Amino acid sequence: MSKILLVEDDSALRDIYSTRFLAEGYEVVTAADGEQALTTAVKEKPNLILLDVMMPKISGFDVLDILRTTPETKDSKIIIMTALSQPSDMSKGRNLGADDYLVKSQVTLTDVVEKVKVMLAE
Amino acid sequence: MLLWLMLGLGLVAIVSIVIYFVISKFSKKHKVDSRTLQEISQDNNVHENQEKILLDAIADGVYIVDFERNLTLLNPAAEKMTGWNAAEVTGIKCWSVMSLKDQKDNSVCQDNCPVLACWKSGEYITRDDTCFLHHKNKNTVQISSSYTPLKDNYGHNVGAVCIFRDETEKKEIQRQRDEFVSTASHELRTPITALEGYISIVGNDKICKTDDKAKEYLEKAHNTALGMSTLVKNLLTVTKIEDTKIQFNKTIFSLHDLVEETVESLQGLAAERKLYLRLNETESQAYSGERAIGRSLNVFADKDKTQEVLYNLIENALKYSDDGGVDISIAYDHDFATVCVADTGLGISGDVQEHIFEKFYRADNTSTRETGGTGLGLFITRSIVEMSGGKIWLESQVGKGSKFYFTLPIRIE
Repeated sequence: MSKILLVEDDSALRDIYSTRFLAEGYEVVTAADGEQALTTAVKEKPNLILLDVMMPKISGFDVLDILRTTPETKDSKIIIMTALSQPSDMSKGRNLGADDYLVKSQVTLTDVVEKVKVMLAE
Repeated sequence: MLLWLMLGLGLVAIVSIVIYFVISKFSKKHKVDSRTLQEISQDNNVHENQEKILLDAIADGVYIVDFERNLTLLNPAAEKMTGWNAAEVTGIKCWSVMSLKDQKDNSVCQDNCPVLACWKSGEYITRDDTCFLHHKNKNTVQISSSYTPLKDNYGHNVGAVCIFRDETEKKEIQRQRDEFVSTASHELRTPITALEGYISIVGNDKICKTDDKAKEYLEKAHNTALGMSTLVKNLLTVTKIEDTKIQFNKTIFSLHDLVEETVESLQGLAAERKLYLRLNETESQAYSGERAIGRSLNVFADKDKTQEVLYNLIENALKYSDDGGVDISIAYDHDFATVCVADTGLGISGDVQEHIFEKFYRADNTSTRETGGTGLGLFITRSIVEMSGGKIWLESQVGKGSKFYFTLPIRIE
């Protein structure tokens, strides 16, 4: 069973996504800020990390940068999922090593589940 | 009788005297006034005063330079904005007082001097508000400015009049508004996404058990949440368009492939509405007159935004058609590709056609009220097409369907 780390500071979205991923048969661990994301990622070694950007303590971009240079997490699949939609933000995410970049206003819950399924099947 | 006659004459005499006094007083006053006006118009000192009063009353900074760009005049607003007194700077080179810098902190007073530019062009020129003026006490003021050449009777440049306006407050208001819109849309988007998510979870059989009636209502609630989410997204887009902050990432791509992909992804919606949706290949190529290359011609535009245009037009066509369906075709001429989205819907009357691309415009009839919408879709569509260098228009008759056309510039590699 694949393990997903869901990093999201909004508790409702954390609740919704984890419920949906559990229903799809994935194991789900969550983090509510950047700091928690780093400790949970190292401890749980998830197969895929769904990462918000605008979060308390450490931003998603900084978390991504650290995860990519940490041996335990450098090979995890990472999908950025954020409200930031500017091309400059997207290229920043890609350059820091994100496998995909999703803009919250442009994707539905089902789209996100499909993206995760495809990425974990690769 | 004689007494009555004398009394009558006496009264007439009194009335006549009163009338004479009144008339003479009026004409005397009039004479005084007209003489004053004449004097004013002949008095040069007053003339100068008028000019001074005018310059003093202007809230914008005004300064005048001679043919060597020496300052000859500074009005009080200019004194306030620069921190210099007119008396202490008259005769000094304008750039030592009016130190203008661009956004990158480069001086615009030497090679790019706007006074030189207005002399060169011989015409009035303006500079947008990207210039910064350095106040005597080192503060910086963001300004917009205009420059008019002063010429002698032979047409030689003998100086220039420069007017500048403090844009700091306007910029600050604009910044606060941008921040508000961005924060509000972010704050609104998060709860709407949560709402949409929770409804979608309840409607998911793997997670919750619901009966058919509940499912029907949940679907309606879900569509309403999706509509709210679109509204927030559109409002944000409109703000960006109006602030000309919307970014276009233009590339060369195949319009045919993009239309094909979009049509494919909207087949579900068409099937739901029991309508056909097809990309009419034969018609596309016949239009082009260049059968062999028609499909391979590329356009130069922002691919994602072009797809948004296609989604808006095709979704509208599907929304407002009850039977029949939607045909898409692409025609190519020398410079442009023209996409046509033709539906079999109700058609649009002439007076509605005039306003249909305006912001927040919604045709007021039962059909539009039932289908919902924000009145922003076609405004955004038109803005994207025009910002891409194309045009958008429609042909429609009530009862005979509508054809929406838009063009994009062709780019041959």
